[in-house]
Amino acid sequence: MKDTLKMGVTLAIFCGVAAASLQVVYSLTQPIIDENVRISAIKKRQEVIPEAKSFDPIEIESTKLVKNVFAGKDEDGNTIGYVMEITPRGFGGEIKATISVLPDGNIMNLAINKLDQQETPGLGARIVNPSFRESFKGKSGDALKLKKDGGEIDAITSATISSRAVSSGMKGAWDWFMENRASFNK
Amino acid sequence: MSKHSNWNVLTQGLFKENPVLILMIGLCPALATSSNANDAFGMGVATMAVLLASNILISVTRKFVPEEIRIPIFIIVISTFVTIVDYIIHAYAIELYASLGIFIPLIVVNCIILGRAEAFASKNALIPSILDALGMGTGFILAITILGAIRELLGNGSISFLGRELFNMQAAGFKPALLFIMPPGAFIVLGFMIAGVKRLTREKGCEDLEKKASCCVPPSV
Amino acid sequence: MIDNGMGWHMIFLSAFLINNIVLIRFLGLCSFFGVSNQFDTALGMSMAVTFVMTMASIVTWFAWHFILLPLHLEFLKIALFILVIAALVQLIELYLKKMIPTIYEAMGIFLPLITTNCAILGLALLNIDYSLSFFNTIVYSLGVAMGYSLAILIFSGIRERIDIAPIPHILQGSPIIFIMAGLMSMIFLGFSHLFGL
Repeated sequence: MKDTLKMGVTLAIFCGVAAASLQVVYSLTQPIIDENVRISAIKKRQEVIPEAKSFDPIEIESTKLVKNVFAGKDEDGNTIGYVMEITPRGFGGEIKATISVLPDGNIMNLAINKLDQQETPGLGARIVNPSFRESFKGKSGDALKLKKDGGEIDAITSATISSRAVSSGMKGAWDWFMENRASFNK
Repeated sequence: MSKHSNWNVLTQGLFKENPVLILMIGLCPALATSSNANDAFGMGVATMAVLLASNILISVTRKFVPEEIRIPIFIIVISTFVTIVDYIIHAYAIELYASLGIFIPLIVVNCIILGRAEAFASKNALIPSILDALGMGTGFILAITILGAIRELLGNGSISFLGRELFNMQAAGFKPALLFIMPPGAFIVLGFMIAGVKRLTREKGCEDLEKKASCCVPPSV
Repeated sequence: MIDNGMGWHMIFLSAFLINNIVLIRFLGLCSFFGVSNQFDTALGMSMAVTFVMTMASIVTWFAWHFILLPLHLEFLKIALFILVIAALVQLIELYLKKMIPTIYEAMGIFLPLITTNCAILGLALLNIDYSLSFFNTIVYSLGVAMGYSLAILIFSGIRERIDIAPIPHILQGSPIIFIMAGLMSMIFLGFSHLFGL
């Protein structure tokens, strides 16, 4: 009986201390983690429209592909371009890409960094390389498709699935943008 | 156990009882997170941190903990430290966190840690337990980082360390064999590393893989 | 790699072949190498793993969605999951020993091994990471478990042959086994483009 009690007490003490210390660590690190996520989203918006001084969120009904849209504005409040956060499905799950589109519909920039994708290292993961991302610049419409699919984008060697995921994501986002852009300027 | 001199305790984990290359435990993280030297080293350090912390706490509390419930207590202690490490990496090393993924929480079931808690820390004083953790931890870091470096060198032509790429031979026209940073390469490189260690130590030791891998048998809870 | 939008048959195939838990995802390697020396033991182990994996996924899914999430105790995830799995394995062992001794004889000795099989905890964590629905959790767990069984059964067959094959001295023992696993992993890598995923 005494032994059982001792065991119970020891176990309870360990559980209590463990839970308490985890609570402390959690409350100390969670704000930093949330802050990191916020900062990295802002940085990516600035990366795709470096000239913009502010980004105003535009209210949209998010779709499977298009998650958020922001209007990038310069000092005078003129819209330079629109930032869209899109999530095409790649080979290894969702790719979190941030793209910017000029008001006239041409693609300005595409940002994907190492943390935004889980493609195979060395193969699909090369979608983060600047040479691939920059091939979308200034294009619109069907030109955003891969060459194999009748567009103008070179697929990454031996990573067709990941390349196609990004390019069809871009095409889908572009289609969505053209359809909805009228409602942005309210 | 008191026959071990402190020096022996420290060094045996490095080579003679290297957890990955000789004892063949902790294989899952060693193979899964070694596609480059940087991630491999990060995994090694995270594992060693948990091992050190759990060895210290288990050694200090070994006299108060009743024999019958020691395993649940070990599990609680280890999973607490793993969660702490998980949150710290998430907050301060986000890139590493993304590459290691679920293998950080899985440090909990790394046989090295529960194994050392049961076989060493719960029976030895504080100082030897610290040395044991340092030795075993360094042995693990060494094995996994070398594995990562070989795979990265052959599979990507580069070696990265502490978040930076030290050099990249692809610029000089080296055509990497992608296979090595993909899953099959991990098995093959580790196989040859074990063969190399066998040659160096001239031991037939690795033959009874079954017995050694069965260190994963948890003593009944 | 998996999400609810994929449809259950794709989730199953992805878990079973394309992202094979052992050969591609590197989970459960201790038991994969440890008990694959004979076909019979491999069979017992894969039965035990399939059973515990599915049960553990279900129990941890409930623990996550009905205890940890509502109470905002996400940071207890690792501790609670490993304890739940350990307790579950004990319960299953006791139950089988008492009620169904024939099954206990076939897979009983493997049950204690399973608590530290990282595939079980790994799968429980993956289910949460992918935020799978309850039905998809079961499908995914079954796929993963069958993928594990497939890999370990084939591998045990190969190892029975390796024992009688002429192998260079330096590679005898575990090195050749790792290299064989690498070759098998290569084969499973080949499935990745099979279904246009």
